[in-house]
Order: sequence, then structure tokens, then C-alpha cells
Amino acid sequence: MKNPEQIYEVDAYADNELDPVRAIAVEKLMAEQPELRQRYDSILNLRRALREAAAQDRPSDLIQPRINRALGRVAPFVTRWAALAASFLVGLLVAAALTWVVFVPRSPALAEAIVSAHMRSLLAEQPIDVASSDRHTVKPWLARKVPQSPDVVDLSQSGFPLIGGRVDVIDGEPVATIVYGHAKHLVSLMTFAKRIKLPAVSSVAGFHMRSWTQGDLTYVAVSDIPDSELAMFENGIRHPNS
Amino acid sequence: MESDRALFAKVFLPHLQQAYRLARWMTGSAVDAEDVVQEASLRAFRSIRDCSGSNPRGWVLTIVRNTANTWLTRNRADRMPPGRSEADGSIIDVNENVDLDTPEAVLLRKATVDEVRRAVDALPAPFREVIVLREIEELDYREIADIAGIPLGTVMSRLSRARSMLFKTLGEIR
Repeated sequence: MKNPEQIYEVDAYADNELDPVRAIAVEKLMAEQPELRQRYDSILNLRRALREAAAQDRPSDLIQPRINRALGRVAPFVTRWAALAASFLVGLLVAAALTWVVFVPRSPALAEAIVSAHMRSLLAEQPIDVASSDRHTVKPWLARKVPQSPDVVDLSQSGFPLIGGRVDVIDGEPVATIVYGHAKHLVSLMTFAKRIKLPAVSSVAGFHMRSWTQGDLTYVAVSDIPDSELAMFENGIRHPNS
Repeated sequence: MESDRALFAKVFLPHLQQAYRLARWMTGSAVDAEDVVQEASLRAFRSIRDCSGSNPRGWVLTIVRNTANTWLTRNRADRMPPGRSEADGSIIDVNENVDLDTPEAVLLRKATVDEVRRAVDALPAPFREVIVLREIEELDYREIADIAGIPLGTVMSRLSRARSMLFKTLGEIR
């Protein structure tokens, strides 16, 4: 067994990090290759051994008094005055934040709509309407649903296998969305036929977003993978042949 | 308006047990673990206002992990791999490739707690921390990547490699 990719897949399977489609593929792989199956069993045995060994680990009862003493040395007490002043300051900040929320233009609402479409798809039984790793299936399917559909780029070599496509409705408009996988995570790539205003890089509720315009389309990639990886993804989509 | 102390009690203390366990397995010693947790609690307290509140556990474990690494560099240089740049930096010189000569899969015989601890102790620090975060703290790859400050791909390769190394130490084919 010389293929590290397969080993990673088995490990990721044992760690429950694969999406259902890939999990099934790994199960098949393990049925065919006893060594992979054996690695999986070994991982579970190792896990049990480690958790059993750690089960008895508890800090001594002295740890909390120790922490309290240590904190007491750096922050002896907070005076009522300090607390009062601080709460006044927070009041000011809250007021400032509210003002800001009221006066910023509509792009945060759009960003939230995009993230909630992505989140809804994560909660759904199937994050996609058409499941296929073949871009020649996804592209025509999307073309039938939305007036202007994007090219579907194959990024499997860069670690973003194609999972499928769906149509989201954002701000009353149907939007073609291509879904890619990345480890256990999903990346939704939405394409807007009209110009929309979003920052190039932003994040909402822990989800990162990248937005760029190419030709007539505005692209928004959204995922919970770190921004650095989303940047790789963006780069792959923008420069498919490099 | 909560005092820093109250905020600390709310953010840090609920994760004390997990914090201790992480320190315990990273340092390999129950006594050192308490030192690390105490130091981490001070660090956490000083920056308690930076904790956004969305993921307090991740925030706490990141501090504990960084404190443990600083502690290891300072007190136990032998446990840190050569070429490690800074305590909480993740630049390392260790071969990241999965060593395909180690047996990939051997069933573990029943190992004693001591044997398990020694085997984990013997791992190079970057591998030790990912296996501890995954199997003992039960975090997923994303959380591990955030806490250890490494890309997802590195989490996967280190985890696989750590497992292969542990199979080699602990495993005998039965």
C-alpha cells in the first residue's frame, strides 16, 4: 500500500470528515483492500486506547485556587468607579455600532443572504440539486435553470472536487451555484449575472467570502474553510489553466 | 457590564478540564500541566476582552497550546523538534511526508495506560499535538487547523503520520 492519498482518505473517514459521497467511495475502497480496512480498525483501536488513557486525567483540586491567586496578583479588584466608567463606555460603543448598522449600505444584507443560502444548503439532506463530479453534467443542468450560467471549472487536482450544482434565490433572483468539496467542507461558488457590490474579502458568522468579477459575471465563493484556502480556490477558478 | 474576572470565569473556567488535558498530554507531565494551565489562565485573563465569544473553547485551547509550546521550548528543548522557529510558530523542519515504510495498519494489542503515554510522549511535538487535539480533545480538522495555526492539509498529513508512528510503537500483529 503505497498511496498516501488513500491513507489520508481512510483517516479522514475514521475522523468523520468526509462528505457522504466520498465516504461511500472510501467504504468501497476498504472492502477491496484489506490493508486499508485494517488501518481503519487500527485507528479505532488507537482512539479507544488514547481515550481510556486520558479518562483519568483531571487537574488537582488545587488548580482553581492557584489560578485565583495568580489572577489576584495581576487584578486585585475592580472598583465600582471603574466598572461604572466601563459600562458608560460600552453604552457609547453600542450606540455607535447601532448607528453604523443603520447607515451602512445594503451589501451586508446581501452578504448575509449569501451566507444563509450556503448554510441552508449545509443543513439540507443534499447540499445540491444535481449531484455530479462531471462538469459536463453540471453546466447544462445550470444552463437550463438560470439565464446566464458560468463555466464549470475542474479543480479536483487542487483539492476541490466538484460535487454538484444548485440554484439559490438571492434577493429575488435565481443564482447558479456550483458546489465543490474540500476535506469535509463545502465551498459554494455563486454567480450573479448582475453587478453586485461586495468586498473582495469578507466574512459573516464565521463563513469566509471572496468576491470578484470576471466578464459579465460576479462570483462569490463562500465556505467555512480558512480564507487562505478560499484564496487558493479563487485563484484556481480565475486561472483554470495555470 | 461584567468585570474581567466574571468574564474570565465564564470563558475560561468551563474549559479547565480540557485545557488541563491538552497541557497534560503536550508536556507529558501532570505537574508541568498545572504550571502551563496557570500560565495560560494569566494570558487568557490579560486578553480576555479579545475573546469574541463565538468559540470560547477554541480560544482557550489555542492559548493553552501556545503556552505549552513556549513552555516546552523553554524547559524541555529536547521535546521540541530541531528547526522549530518559535514557540507558537508552526514552521518545522520535520519531514511532512507520510513515511510509507512504517506499517500502515497493524492491530493494536491491548496497551497499558503507561505504554500509551510513553508512545505519545515519544512523538515529535508537532505530531503529538495534532493527535492529542484530534483523539483526546475530540476536535475536528478545522478546529485543529485553527488552534495549531496550520493548513488543513498539514493537519491531515501529520495526523496520519502520527498514527503510523503510534501503530509502530504500540502495535504487534495479533
